[in-house]
Amino acid sequence: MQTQQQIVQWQEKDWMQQILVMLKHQSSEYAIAVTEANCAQVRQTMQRMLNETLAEQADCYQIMSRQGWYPAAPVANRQELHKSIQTHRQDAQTTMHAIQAAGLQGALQHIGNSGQPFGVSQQNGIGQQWRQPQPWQTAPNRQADQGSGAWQNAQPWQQTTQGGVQAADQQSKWQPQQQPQAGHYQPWQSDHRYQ
Amino acid sequence: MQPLTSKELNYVNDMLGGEDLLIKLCVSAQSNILQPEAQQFLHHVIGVHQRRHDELVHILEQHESIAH
Repeated sequence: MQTQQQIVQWQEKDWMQQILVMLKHQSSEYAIAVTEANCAQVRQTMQRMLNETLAEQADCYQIMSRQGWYPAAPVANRQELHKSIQTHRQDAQTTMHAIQAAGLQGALQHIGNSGQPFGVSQQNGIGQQWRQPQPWQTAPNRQADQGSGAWQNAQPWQQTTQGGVQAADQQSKWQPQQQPQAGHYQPWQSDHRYQ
Repeated sequence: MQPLTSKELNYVNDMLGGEDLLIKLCVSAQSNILQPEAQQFLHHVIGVHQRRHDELVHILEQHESIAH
């Protein structure tokens, strides 16, 4: 009886999948490295490399998706989504009352389905608040050589080729983020389908 | 610039290993992938990972002078 030997050969999508997995792993590792950094220069470097790796992972995924090398993710059920929204709105209400009871101001004046995306609220400008240095970030005993608020300032990966700094809330919209040199997109980034 | 802690050194070592592995993986992938867009991407990121690896080694070199 002859035994059939099946030679397992990686297809193109398998190679890309492996790279994608590694990029995801490397991103997690960079995130931890940021939090474990003691020296400000090391932290800034790790944070920059984290963001670069995330952008590269996004590009890799985009290419795989266009080639049909990545299975389409199942879509969330509307009912489940609605249930989530209700639960979390209730939590936010409870928490808000607790904040008020503690005599604190908090960020929100009311919880409601205002339809405003996070950070665009006219009442509080949460998105804008993230960008301003806070008192504890400008304390004099912070390392003076790197600047205490250095990583509060706009970082290169937050500037698109359209110019300007993206507010924190806009970064949830997925678009090619890998910062190209001299303002040119890489060939695989020329598809603006996802913008 | 502060002297590197042992923990920081460990993480830099880990990240260096990761970048090196990614380079090797991308090089192998490139010789096995024919799709042009993926080819271009791989060719580009090999250089990016090399640059990142180099930068991390440079950080170690910079901190060597202030190490105890």
